[in-house]
Amino acid sequence: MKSDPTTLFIYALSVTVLSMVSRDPRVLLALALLNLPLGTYLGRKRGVIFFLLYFLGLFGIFLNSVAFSNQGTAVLDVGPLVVREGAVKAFLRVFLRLSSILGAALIFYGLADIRELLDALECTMRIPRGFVFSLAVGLRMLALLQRDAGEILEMRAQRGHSRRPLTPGSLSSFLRTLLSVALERGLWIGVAAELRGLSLRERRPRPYRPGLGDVVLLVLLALQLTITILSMVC
Amino acid sequence: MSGVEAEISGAGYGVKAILHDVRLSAKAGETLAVVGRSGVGKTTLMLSVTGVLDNLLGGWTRGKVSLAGLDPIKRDFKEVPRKIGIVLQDPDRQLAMPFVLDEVAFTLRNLGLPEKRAWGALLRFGLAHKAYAEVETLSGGEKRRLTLAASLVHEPEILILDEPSASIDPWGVGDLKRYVQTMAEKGLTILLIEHKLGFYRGVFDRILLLEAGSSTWAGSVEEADPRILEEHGVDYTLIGRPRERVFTGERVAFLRDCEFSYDGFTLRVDELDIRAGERIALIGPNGGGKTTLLKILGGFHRCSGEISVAGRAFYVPQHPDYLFVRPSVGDEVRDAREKGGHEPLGLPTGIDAGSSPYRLSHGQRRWLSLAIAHAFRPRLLLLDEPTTGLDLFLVEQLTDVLWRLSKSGLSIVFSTHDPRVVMSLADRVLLVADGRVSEIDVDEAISMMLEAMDIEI
Repeated sequence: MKSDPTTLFIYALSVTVLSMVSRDPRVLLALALLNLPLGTYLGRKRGVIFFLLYFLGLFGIFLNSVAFSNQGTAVLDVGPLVVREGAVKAFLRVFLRLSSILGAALIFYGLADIRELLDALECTMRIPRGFVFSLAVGLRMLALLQRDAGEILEMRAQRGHSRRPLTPGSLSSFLRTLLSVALERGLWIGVAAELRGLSLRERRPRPYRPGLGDVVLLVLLALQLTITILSMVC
Repeated sequence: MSGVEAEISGAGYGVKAILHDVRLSAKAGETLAVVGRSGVGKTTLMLSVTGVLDNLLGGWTRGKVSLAGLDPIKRDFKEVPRKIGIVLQDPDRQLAMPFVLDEVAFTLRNLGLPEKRAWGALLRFGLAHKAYAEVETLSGGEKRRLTLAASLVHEPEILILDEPSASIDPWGVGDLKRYVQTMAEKGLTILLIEHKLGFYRGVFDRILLLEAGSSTWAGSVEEADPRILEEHGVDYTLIGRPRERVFTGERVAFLRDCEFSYDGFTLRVDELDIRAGERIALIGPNGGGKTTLLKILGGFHRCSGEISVAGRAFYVPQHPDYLFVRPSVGDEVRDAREKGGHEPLGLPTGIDAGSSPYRLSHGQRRWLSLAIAHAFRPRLLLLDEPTTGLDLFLVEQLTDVLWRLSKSGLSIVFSTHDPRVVMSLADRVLLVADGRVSEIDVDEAISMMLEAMDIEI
């Protein structure tokens, strides 16, 4: 299902906004059911990191719900841990919200061609060239940062420091090296880009031609918009 | 067409002047080599004549600069990209786009030129088959060719190269020389900033020698005195100083039927013995497996087969920054002493203990990384391209230190693309190519490297 990056960007942004503004659990369930299965299917290969962050996020949300909304009837009683109705409701609401956002993000990431996306951001959506350039460099730097981080952790272990920087001191030491390397690299990439005419860059027209994939996504978005508005009105 | 003319009476940052009195002249179509020791201001000169120092980095330049008829410092900085192409020392500090084709098209789109030209440049530099590949999947040599393609695609009048042969293998240096020669024949004005001048013999027409921020000599190749150049840290003759073999015969490490695979690449070592005091050079093309072999010996990768290292091995990466864990040089030394259990190697004078390790010069960072390694008193020292970016003096100082350490029984395995270092330091040479390791004669290795670089001595 090929879709224009503009449609994908609008779709993902709109679903995120709808998930954030809606408070009705039935609407949130509908949004999650419409987005998560489709996103999981489309982004299953490229979006592994999103799933990892999702599960980490869910764990945090559970702890947060138990800490701040643990009121009402006890639902689960395991020794010192008593989970009450309020915590379950709070967890479910944020879980559904997060699931919709993850689904939309996976649809976006699974279908977007990064090259076309950068082009669309600059030429169709008219986002400032400095921002798009930073995004492009960021995408390139991600791979380099990953490589740097692996090397730094190996060297730390060799010097008798923890391989997992979990304490504030070791984390700051790890980040100091990582960021020093990245900042120096970023400075020179910026200098090189200016000497290659970044500030002379002008937008060129890029027509928006929606195809079948775009129509499907826009219909799906319209459906979710209708559900959300109806729940607010009725 | 017009070349580059500069009369700079001062340039620097804040109150600190880095350049004092520089007169630079490269006529249209001429290739000028700008040479001098590490830290004399070669890169600052490049930033100054392109206007970057004044317009982007908050620095200042006093004097006059004409770059292809433009005044890059005051009026015409924005127009500079139309006239010049630039190649920096490290491709990873230059390549901005995630994909190969986009990197070349980036220059064209910035300058409002047709993007289909990108294909021609990729074809010329042998990268057309990788047009849609991610830049990160390219080898070091391919990344260098990509920087050249992206810098020349708009057909500039002036090409500026800042130590372009750093970190590329001898075959890549050979290719680079041929490309630069072709550009010179096409009439481009070329500024080549380099201290391994011997690599480029036959390529440049004139030389400008810098010393402590001032130009001290300029002249044609015929007028140049190799002895004077070498006194200023410029390697013109490329003759290493062979040192005596000192290994004792006691075995420090061995590998047998060792195989390690990752990302579809497999490195296989049938048999390798390393003896006390031996200095072994690993040579071969970028991506051939040299770093992998060093990391296997350092215990970072586990391979199948037999591997044994008597005592500690310590790996010093190509980028010394990866090794630093503390905010100041003094803290680094203290930490190394505490964790390593021994006194680190002494640092050269002029390094302030309070300064950040990331603010040292490249040579000083390299030295600090070696000092840290020494505090751990390894039996086996593993160095990944230890001389990258160092001038002749620093290379000689480093090889002297390594030679002294090996005399005390330390075994050293180092990867290098530099035939001078093989000449000066290697007792044995291993050729690591396409995931296979084979031992070759030292002289044969040096000849192979020089031939790949298209150099006759």
